[in-house]
Amino acid sequence: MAKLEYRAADVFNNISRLIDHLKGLNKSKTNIQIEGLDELHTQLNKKGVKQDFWKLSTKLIFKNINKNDLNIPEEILQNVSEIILEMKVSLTEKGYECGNICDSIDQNERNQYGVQLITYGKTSKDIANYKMSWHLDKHIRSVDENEGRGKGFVHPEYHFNMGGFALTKENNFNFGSVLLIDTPRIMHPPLDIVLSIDFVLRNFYGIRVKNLTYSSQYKQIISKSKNRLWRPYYISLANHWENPRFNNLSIQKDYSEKIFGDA
Amino acid sequence: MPKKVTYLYFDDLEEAANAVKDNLESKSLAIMIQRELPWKDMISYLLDHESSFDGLILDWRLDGEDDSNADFSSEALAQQCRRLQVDKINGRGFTKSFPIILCSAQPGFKTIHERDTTSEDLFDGAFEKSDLEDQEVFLLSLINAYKVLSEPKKSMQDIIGLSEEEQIKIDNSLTRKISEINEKQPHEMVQFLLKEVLNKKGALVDITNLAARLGVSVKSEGWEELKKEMDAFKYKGILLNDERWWANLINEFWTNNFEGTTLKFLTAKERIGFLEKKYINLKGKLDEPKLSNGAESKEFWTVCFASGNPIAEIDGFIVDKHLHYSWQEREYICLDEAMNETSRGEIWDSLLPYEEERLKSYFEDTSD
Repeated sequence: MAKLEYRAADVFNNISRLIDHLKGLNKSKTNIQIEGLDELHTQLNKKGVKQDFWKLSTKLIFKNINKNDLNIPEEILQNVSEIILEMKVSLTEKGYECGNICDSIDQNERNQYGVQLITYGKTSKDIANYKMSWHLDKHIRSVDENEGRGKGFVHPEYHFNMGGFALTKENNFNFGSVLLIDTPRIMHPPLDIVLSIDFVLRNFYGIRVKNLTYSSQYKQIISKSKNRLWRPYYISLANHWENPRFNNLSIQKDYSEKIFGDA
Repeated sequence: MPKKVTYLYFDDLEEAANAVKDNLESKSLAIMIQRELPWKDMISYLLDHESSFDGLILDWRLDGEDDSNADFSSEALAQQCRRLQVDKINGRGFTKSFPIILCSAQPGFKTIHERDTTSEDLFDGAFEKSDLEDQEVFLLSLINAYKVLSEPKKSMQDIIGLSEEEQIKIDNSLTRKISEINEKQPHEMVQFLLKEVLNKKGALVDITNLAARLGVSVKSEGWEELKKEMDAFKYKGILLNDERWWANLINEFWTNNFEGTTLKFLTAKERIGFLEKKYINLKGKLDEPKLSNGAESKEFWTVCFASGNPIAEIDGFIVDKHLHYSWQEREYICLDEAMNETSRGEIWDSLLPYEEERLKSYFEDTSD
């Protein structure tokens, strides 16, 4: 077997370095607290992980999101003591060779891919609960790979969606005047744990984390994950139109069409 | 039937000692009371009678009465015994290691003792006398632990009760640490397991945490039955006094049995849904725990350190307690406890500094 370019060990090392940076953030004066890092670290230290096929799942809690940065109606803001974001990521990945452009995230009944971001507007009373949820899914296909859930709607292979089950599964959720419908599903490249954390930091903390996010060490960590997951994603798309330019690579045939939601 | 074990108990107040003896003795446990002797005689007595006892109980102040013979502290005696368990002094030493327990009739003694950390590592347990009376199971488990740990070729499995296959599923740093300590004296392993593993949430969880994680109220009709289904993941190692379960084994069992889902990511309702599908006889017999005041998430994972109510980590405030090892997990308190401070100063002292700050915002917003 040819040498794998991306192995569990490399990915775990990258996550572990990011954890160290985030712990530094916990200790700094930024007033940003991220919980769940130790547990994630323990997972990385497990023995007997297969290098060409690994599974990780983590739940991190991001505290102290600045509520004044957000567009929250005054009457709600009065009730809300603080905003906390919960990030859940579960993914199963395959190692692959560099020249072999493919979708390396595994999904079946046993291994479900998903990134979920739920923000909670927490109150000291239990009368109101405020919540919003975004999630990045990989399209679930049935055995014949053609028919999935939500038949007829466009399903880009990786798609971001607002709202969804995280909100609707509790019957008592108060939707106010918001009409929460299931669509649209917006095309977005896949996120792993590292990229999901980056997504949260740069979307919810912005300037407060710039010392970290602007640093070259941080950028290096992020770019490794992009290289692993986004390079195949975008090469597949580019190849869709510019086929001869990628002759030296072996490219998974249906990946681009799946990304578009055409396959 | 296992052999009856004997603790030799030194106290300068025989009345108090007899009360402890009466309450503690059982089919499996005998207490042999002795008055203290001057240092030299005391050491000779212990060495001469080594074969007649399995463990030692010392009153904290052997010099407390007018007619006391003790010209030494219990800490000094314990220190000398530990030394004689590994080494000969003046040509004499013990042939075995045995547990040493400290006790006292003085109320609040435990806190005093805990503050005095210099002697902390000498004893396998420190109890007020009234509490010692309930420690039969613990005292017996200590004797058994010393027996296992004194075997020259004890394995990891002998100590923590996990097969090699299971060992790789738990935190690697825990098994590494145990292997390290395995080279040392039995009492070091006993100290370590009691302080850092069995009595700290993380690698192992107790019954309230287990229930929270399964998303089931302990008051549910089917709880006992469900608990039995989790027997395979129970701690079966040495020093077991109270039920404990391996958190990682439960997590892995869950993923393998329930469509690859992650237990921690599911609401109580979803967890119960899966459980009822697998254990058909439990259908309709499992109830979700109630949300505590101010809580929003039904992805229960821990329990309030003060009230014991199940909460999701996102709904709790973190207690300021130093964690020594990676397998240990934070303790949380629920919003009600944090705001009302019912047991502040007793069960918990302070929150992490940033959690105290977070808490303030809850007071600001409710002041209207």
